[in-house]
Amino acid sequence: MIYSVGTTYEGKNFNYLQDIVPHVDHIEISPDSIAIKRNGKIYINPESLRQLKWIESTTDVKILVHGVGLSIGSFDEYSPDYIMLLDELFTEIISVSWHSEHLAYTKVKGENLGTMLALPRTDEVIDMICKRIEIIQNRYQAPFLLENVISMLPPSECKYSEAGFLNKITGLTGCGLVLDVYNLECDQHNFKLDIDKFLEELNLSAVYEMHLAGGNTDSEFDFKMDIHSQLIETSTYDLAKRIIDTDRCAVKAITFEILEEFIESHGSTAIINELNKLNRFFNNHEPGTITN
Amino acid sequence: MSLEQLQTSLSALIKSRRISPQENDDYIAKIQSSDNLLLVKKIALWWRKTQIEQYCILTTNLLKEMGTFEIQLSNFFSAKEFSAFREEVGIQFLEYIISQNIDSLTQSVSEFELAIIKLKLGENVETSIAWEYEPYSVVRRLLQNSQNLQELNSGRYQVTVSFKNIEELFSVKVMN
Repeated sequence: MIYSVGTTYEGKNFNYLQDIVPHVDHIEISPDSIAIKRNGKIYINPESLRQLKWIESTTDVKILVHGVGLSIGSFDEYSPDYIMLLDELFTEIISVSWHSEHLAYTKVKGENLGTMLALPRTDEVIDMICKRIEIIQNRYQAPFLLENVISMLPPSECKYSEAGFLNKITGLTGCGLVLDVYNLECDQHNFKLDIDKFLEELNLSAVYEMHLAGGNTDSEFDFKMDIHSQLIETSTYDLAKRIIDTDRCAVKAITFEILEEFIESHGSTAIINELNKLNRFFNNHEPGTITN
Repeated sequence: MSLEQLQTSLSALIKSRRISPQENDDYIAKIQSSDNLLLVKKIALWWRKTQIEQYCILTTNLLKEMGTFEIQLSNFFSAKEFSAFREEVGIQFLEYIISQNIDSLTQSVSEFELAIIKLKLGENVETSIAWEYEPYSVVRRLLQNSQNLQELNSGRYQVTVSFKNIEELFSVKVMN
């Protein structure tokens, strides 16, 4: 099995995009990051759109879409702005392999929280999410995936386990999963998530993509944060490898997530080295060759 | 507790707003007094800070120099319905700072920066802003993030930002 290896790109630095393109099989873009909202109208930045079309027309690199702002778990509604962005993207870019979003909420009554919160694992939420997934699946041709997010707060109601909640949603809708491996490590550190138990229970045949990232730990609260600021730690590689080596696993793509704000401090060479390392590690299957 | 009650209460806590008594159950009370809530607020502020610092360099450097950036950011976060989109949240922050009428220099710098940003975004901007300090040296020092703003030369100046003068971005006139 050869995995598609790629990274995130936020549409603002064409030189950087040209640097990394030879080293990736896919680029993951976030509609929110390349959006402009002016006078109440939201649209994709024309320059970013031009760059996506450049990828589509001049390279073999696939485009994945990964949103932040859909807020699929808001009790009132998911974001109409985000849907407008998806409409534009799917009209302009025909080769989107799939699109995904976080299983979370970022807005309440239309107001931005400024952060992303996990949902209570209840039947009420499952009903709401599944109806919304069905609408999204009917609206766009490309498959839709949901991603596990980190918990920032202790859980409220928990009828389902973390994995049971994901299994129920994927089972009822047929939607896939993006499994964020670093987020699992965060939850293990912050809330004592039993990763072995989680993986044993999770329906891994629904996982089409894995996210790998590195972050920081807040020293004041000893909290491992889901801020993609660092290169990938060896522990994250090892956990991802353990998941991929499972017979049940259906992963097709591995994405290294790094925020635009931190690319300059690492330098594009370090990002390229990380991408090449991912390729060696997952596609050549040479365990023990990774050194951080 | 319904999803609506839960999300509405947590939103109020994150924004440091009062929650109604009927929304206050055991779970919300637990969160209210938890380190987790402080952490969520800290991270939410960090995201806004990261976005705004990169978008409004002049105004954020000035506020930092005055030692008020963190508190203004925190007040903005609590008071204002800010956008989820990076391009928009910087503009909202500048509009918020302008609405606060902090002092003459902050007013001049924030109005100037907003006008320049809108001009670069292709808007037909046409505005004149009064400055009580020599504008070029203020802008230069803020771009270099240098200290000693108290040593600025005072005077009366008018800075014009106009789409008719897009090549130069702005012009300065000394007022008598």
